[in-house]
Amino acid sequence: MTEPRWYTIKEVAERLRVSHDTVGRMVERGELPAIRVSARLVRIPAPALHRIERGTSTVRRGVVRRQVAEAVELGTSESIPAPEAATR
Amino acid sequence: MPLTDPAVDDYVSRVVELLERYGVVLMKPAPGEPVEVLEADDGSLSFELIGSLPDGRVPALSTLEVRERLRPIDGELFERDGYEYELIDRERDFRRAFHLHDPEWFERRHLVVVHEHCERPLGDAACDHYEGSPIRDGYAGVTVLIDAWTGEPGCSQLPCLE
Repeated sequence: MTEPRWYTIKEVAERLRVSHDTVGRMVERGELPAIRVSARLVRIPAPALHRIERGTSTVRRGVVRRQVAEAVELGTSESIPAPEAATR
Repeated sequence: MPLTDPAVDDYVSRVVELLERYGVVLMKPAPGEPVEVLEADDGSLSFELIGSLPDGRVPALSTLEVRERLRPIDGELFERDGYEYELIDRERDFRRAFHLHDPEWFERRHLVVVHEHCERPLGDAACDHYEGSPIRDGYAGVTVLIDAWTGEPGCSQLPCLE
């Protein structure tokens, strides 16, 4: 059987053995990121829950700067005419 | 929203943190490595993040990519002027993408600035580009990809750009 890709708050509360309110607070604080599908329905992505179950904390990464000639290329996966061709 | 130069670093670091909170396993930047922000000769800043959503398979079947470019709008501020948020889900056989690039061409051709892609099965799309909504920042970009991964790509509901 394929594992579910998301869980409800109730299911997460059962798996973590905490209250529904505790999960709600984790979602509000961003510790457990969730997708709000509607005013009443929230999806907790399975990988986000598994990270909490493993006890893996996230650590903010540092940032380094590198000088380059060109920025990261965008739109390389599609064919957009070159500017000179497009204006003809 | 325009960002100061130091705020760009903070923003990029927070986007990476959000990806990791969602459980995305990043390949770029590699585990434990800092994020690289590229400073181009034209003064723009850009970055690229690549990861996978763990699904119990090795390698994972779903990959996720985030690219953004920020251009200088005066001496001190940067504004995001291009992005790509990409999800390839090989388990459920679809691609979902949200793009802002080549805005002049898209405006002239389709009267829009942003567009989307949707393929299901992979490689199969009713049209090259779909009408889309602007994605306000990288946090929203990450969230729409996770939303697509946990939900349905919904290709048939998207209007084609003709």
